Amino acid sequence: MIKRPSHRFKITITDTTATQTFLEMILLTVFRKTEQETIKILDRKHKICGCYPKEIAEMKVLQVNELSISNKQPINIEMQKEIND
Amino acid sequence: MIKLLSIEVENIINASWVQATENKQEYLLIENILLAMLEDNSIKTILSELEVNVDELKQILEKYLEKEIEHGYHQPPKQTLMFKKILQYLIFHSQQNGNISHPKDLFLAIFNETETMAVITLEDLGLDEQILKEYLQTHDFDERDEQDISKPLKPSKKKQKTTLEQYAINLTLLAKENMLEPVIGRDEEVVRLTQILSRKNKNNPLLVGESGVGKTSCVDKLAQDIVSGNVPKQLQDWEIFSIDVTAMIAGAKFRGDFEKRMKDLLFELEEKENCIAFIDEFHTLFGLGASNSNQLDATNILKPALMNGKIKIMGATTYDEAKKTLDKNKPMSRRFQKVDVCEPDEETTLEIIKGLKPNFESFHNVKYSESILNQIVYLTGKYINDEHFPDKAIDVVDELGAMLKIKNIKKKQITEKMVNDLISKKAKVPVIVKDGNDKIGLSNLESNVKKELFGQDHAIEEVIEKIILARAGLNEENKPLFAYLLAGDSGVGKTELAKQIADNLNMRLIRFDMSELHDEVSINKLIGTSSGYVGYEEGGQLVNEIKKYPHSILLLDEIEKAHPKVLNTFLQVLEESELSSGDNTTAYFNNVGIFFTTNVGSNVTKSVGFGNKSVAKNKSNIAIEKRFTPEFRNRLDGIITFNSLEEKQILQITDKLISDFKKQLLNKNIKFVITKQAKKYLSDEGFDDKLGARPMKRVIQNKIKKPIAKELVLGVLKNGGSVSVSIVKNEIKLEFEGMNDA
Repeated sequence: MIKRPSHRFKITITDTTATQTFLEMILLTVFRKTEQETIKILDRKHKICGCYPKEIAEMKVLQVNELSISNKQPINIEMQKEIND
Repeated sequence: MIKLLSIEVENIINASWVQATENKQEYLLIENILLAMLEDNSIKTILSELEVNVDELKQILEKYLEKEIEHGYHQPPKQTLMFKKILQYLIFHSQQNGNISHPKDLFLAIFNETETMAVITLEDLGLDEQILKEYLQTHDFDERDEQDISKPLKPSKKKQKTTLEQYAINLTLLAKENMLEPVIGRDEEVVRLTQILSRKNKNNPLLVGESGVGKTSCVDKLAQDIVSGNVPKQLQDWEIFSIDVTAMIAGAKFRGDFEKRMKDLLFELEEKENCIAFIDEFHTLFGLGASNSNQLDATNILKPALMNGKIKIMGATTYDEAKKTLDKNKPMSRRFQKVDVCEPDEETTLEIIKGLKPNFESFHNVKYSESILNQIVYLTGKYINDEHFPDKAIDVVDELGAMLKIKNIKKKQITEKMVNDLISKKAKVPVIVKDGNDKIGLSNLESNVKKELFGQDHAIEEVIEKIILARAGLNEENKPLFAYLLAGDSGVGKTELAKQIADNLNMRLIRFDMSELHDEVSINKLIGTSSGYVGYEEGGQLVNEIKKYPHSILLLDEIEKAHPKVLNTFLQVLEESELSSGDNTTAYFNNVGIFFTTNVGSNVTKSVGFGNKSVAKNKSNIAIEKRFTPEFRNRLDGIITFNSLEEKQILQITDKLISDFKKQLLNKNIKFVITKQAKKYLSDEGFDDKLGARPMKRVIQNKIKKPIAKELVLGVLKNGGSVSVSIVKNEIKLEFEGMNDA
């Protein structure tokens, strides 16, 4: 009933020079992905980390940005409204 | 530090945190807050009044928190950015307004963050920011919030009160429930009301009558008649609403609030159909809501409603106010049909009181006998002139009951004496006691006055006879107690008579020197200036005095010196015993005794000489007739000519003055002895054919009082002693003997 994709936000890593291990760490801790999922995501060009409600998505983006700055691993992460298909 | 969040808000935040922890959520979400908020009573009322399905909202939120959010975090939940923003907004808001934030503020703050699940769900259920804001603006919740702490409100489906319910009382409903007091009489007025209400256009009656005659009762009666079906067919199902204008103004904070309420009310009345709006004190609407820049007042809002006849509007006002407001406003008065409500006569008043009797008896727990009610009506009619029937009589009935209740007497029986006392107090006039018990000392009056005033027995007797007549209640109605013209030489005791009568009757003596009123304009001193002139509001001295002391003796000295037009003013006083001042207050002279004094005629007597009294009297009467118009003389109770004083009386007066002085000295411990020769000397010196007995006081003062006073202050008489007065070589001689210190 609550399936309203339009109200969820898609988080994507668009560009990064960060190390593979750092990205893995982020996907595992922040986005709570399994290891297999992590590998799948990192293989793709559009690294989609997940879909969340706006409130949560905001927090996740914030968290990733904080981590990237403290670890000096540049990462460009974006959130955008999920397009319904 | 100033507290910014109310306890309720803190509770909500705590509850949401607990819930998020229990759910092992990673974040503390707005949805948690909304869910926790639903437990708060004030929010519950808001939601139920806005017709939001709380249960459904709760279900959706719980499902969302369960399914859409990740669980299994063991750290305490973190506040999301949005959550922080909302709190910041809340705190900022309360700092700016200087108020503590309440749950309703938190509720409003949630809408700040769009695209959250909370807001989306609320919008789905039909509640958006705009609706909530409007609702909160029109409903002040602060007070109810405070009550909520002690007494939780049940979330009810009760709708918000309509404007009509808020600002009007349904009189027909009250009549149906028997809540209105019974109305006796007033049939004619009610028939006239129904006639006007049945008209096609301009069917708006306006009840006009003095305050207290029962204008509002007429409307009550109409309501009762409608309920009992005692009205023409076309009025049968109508309802009367009494509009509370003050309630409409109360709390109208902004420009236009009042007008909106008024409009809403009229609209609702029109919607409802078959409504009669009753506005008591109709004159208050004039100028209501108007300001310098905006000349539209409440009456202008009424105008369309008055014209189209969909609702009928009844008003009630007094003659005075109608004159001041309605008569000046032609467009308004044209739309109303006046119904005069006259003051009921004594019989009707008695019936009205009898009808109300059971109500007062049960309220005060006393019994009113029929004769008591009779007496109340009779006495209030006679003595209380500035109020109106039936109100003034009902007042007394009520007050008597209250008096007995307070006194806590076991025997709750009202006596005639109590009625007399109360009405005396109210009217400031001693009420005649029927059983002939005279408290005022009428029996001693004559002898008392004669002791002080010599040689004028005929005058004293005539005046006192008239007073006794009036006291017996046999005086003509609407006439002053008495009115006499006292003519006679200067110093024979005209003024003294008035003084003595007032003293002995315990009445106040009001004295006006008419020689001050020598020109036409000076009448303003007595009755005040006409409206518009300076001092108009102060009223006239005479009218004010008589209003203050309606039971008094009025002495108008030397009227022949007053301007003839001034005298004309007194014609109506003598005839109708009332006098109105410029500011429209009326004084009643029913209990005022009037003395005019004059010297006219005295010169004539003198010129005749030879002491022929009857000739002199005739001559002086002719002079008086010449000087005063017949209409003035006719209205007097009589003209009393005072005798000139003769040697015998002069001696009496000297005796009296000396004995008065003796008493004074005795108080200072001084003996006073005077020889007969000395007295004779004083009376010879002190009497003057032209000036009467007045120089006597002066002579005594110069020859005796002054030397004694000197000794009293500076000399031998300091500690008391004695004085003897004798004549030596045709001169007064005073001998002092001091008292030594003991």
